[in-house]
Amino acid sequence: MSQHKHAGQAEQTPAYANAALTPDGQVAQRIVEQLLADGLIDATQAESVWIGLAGGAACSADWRFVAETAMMLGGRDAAAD
Amino acid sequence: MPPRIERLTLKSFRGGCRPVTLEFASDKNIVLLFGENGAGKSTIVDALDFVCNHEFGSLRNRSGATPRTHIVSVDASPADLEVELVYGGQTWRASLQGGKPGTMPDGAPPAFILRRADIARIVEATPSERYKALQAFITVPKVERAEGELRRAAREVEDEVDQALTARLLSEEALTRFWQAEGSPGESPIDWAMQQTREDTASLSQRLTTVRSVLDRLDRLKDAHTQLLDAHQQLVEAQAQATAANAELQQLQEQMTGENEALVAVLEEARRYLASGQGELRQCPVCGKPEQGAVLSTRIESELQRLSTLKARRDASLHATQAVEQARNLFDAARRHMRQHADAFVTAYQSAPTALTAPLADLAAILTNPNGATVRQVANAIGAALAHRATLEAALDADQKTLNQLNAIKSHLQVLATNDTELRDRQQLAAHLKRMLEVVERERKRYVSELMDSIAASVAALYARIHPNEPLGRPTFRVKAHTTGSLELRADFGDRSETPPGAYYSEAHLDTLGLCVYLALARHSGAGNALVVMDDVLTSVDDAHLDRIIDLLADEAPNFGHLIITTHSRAWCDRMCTAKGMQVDLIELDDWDLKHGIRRRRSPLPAERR
Repeated sequence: MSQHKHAGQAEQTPAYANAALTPDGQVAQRIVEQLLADGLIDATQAESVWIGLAGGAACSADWRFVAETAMMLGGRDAAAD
Repeated sequence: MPPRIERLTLKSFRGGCRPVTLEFASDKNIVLLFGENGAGKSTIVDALDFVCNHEFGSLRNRSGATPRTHIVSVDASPADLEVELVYGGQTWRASLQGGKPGTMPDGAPPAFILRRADIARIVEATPSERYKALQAFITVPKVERAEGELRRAAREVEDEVDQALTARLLSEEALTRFWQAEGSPGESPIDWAMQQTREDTASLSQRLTTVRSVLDRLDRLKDAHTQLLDAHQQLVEAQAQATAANAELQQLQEQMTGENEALVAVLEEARRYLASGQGELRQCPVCGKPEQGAVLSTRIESELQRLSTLKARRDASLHATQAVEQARNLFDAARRHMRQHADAFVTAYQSAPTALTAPLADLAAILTNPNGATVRQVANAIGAALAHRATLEAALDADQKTLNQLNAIKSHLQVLATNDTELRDRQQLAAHLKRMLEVVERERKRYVSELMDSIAASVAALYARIHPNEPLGRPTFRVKAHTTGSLELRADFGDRSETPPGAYYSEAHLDTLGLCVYLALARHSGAGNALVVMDDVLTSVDDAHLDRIIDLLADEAPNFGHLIITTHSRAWCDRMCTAKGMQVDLIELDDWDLKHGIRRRRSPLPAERR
């Protein structure tokens, strides 16, 4: 998981973590947690990725944007470190 | 207390040819719907399927039935059909909308409905048919859809990487070809190419443009000079013709004494006068001698005929003089044209690099000679310049080739420079997307696998309660690796494990196995609020197993919102109603007929029946 926290970023419980989840929602939650653990997405992207997975609405362009943003944020964090 | 069915009303729905409303006891989580064959039990179950799941129920799989037609009671029209469900204080109404079931508002509770035919689909069907039957329970379609899009994104970026690699390869090959054509100088094609890009292509390009302009001006000068020579030739010829014509005219005039061309003019004027008919002529208008007009005209024509040769020569002389004038004008225009092109050539020559245009120096000198030059001098100089034209063209071609190569080298180096950055970015993005896809795929499969293990464990536990101490059991589900849409079901039989139940189990064992699978799926999918319906599913079990099944259902009922069981078996009915701890809402149906439709009978307690 990306351990970096940006300045001013509050510790929040994601909305999906509190919901009564459908099977799709449960799998999406597991996936998001693993993507975070592997550093493949940033914490700020978790909720939108979960929504795209659980709702089945994420299109290829969305995934590309997620990956590019995650790489950019990862690079920025690395530079900040 | 979880939400339960409070009321169900059927209007013109299948066997419900007369409106019928069933009230349900909200304090009991098991409903036993009892009736003889044909009393309307399946119609009620189909009505629940219609309003909750938007399905045509048992009509879907019946040969010869057209669901949207046969769902309507025999004496009604589709517009009359309605199913109303009151569940947990909310009301839903379903009707046929465009030939399909439609429920308003959205959000009707889903119903898990097990029919006898479904047991065969779960237990005895092929793995692919079993997968289809259970697909809704063991798949996560939305996540799978998003995963498919992620796979597409990863593939698209990989394609971009391939394209970038191809472009890079092509540029490297092109540079290598150029390098080898130059004798492979330097360390490598790239080093050589980098060196080449330092060449000043701008001045080379400028030089090519100016020299090409000089050659173009030379060509036009040559054309202008040719036109001037032609014009001069025409003028000389016109002058010669005019001289000859004048000489012939003068010679004829000398031969015809007193009959010169002035006389011809007078006679022609007289002919025009007579032809105009201005009064009758009585005497000659010149000499006053008495004369008749007609006679005079005849004589004038005769005289003019005689003098026609003189007239022809006079006309020829006049035309020749006019031709000379015209030729002189053309010659003057050609001279001006020649001058303009001479100036243009000199201007282009003076702005071109001397090293290349040296062979044209003589021509430029002649054209700029302040004392002028003869036509012959100019012609000779142009001829000499044109003799060097092929050499100049060859030099230009060589320069152009060099320029093209330098531009191509720059272009390919640019591709490599841009390509390097983009390729690195794309490769990183492709790797990132691939890792994301691996995570998504792995977690989805893990979830489904765990779900199936959990369901299988539940099935095994349920099955063991119905068949304790029997050498049959431990059912397991398995999705074959690298196979989609296929679900294996295996179980123990005696000392054999992993056997297909359909091959060894009795009908009763298969029925109970199907029931256990179904209950396990409903428990896993309903989140404690499932509306579970079993439509006359167990008819083959003996009394001992029946008691265990009833005990099992009594124990499992709290895991569901509402458990509805239909049966035509009086034994089932009595055993369930009298089972210890069983709180059953008994709904007993009377015999059906077309006049009354489905009717509820007051249900006597078992003690009353006894």
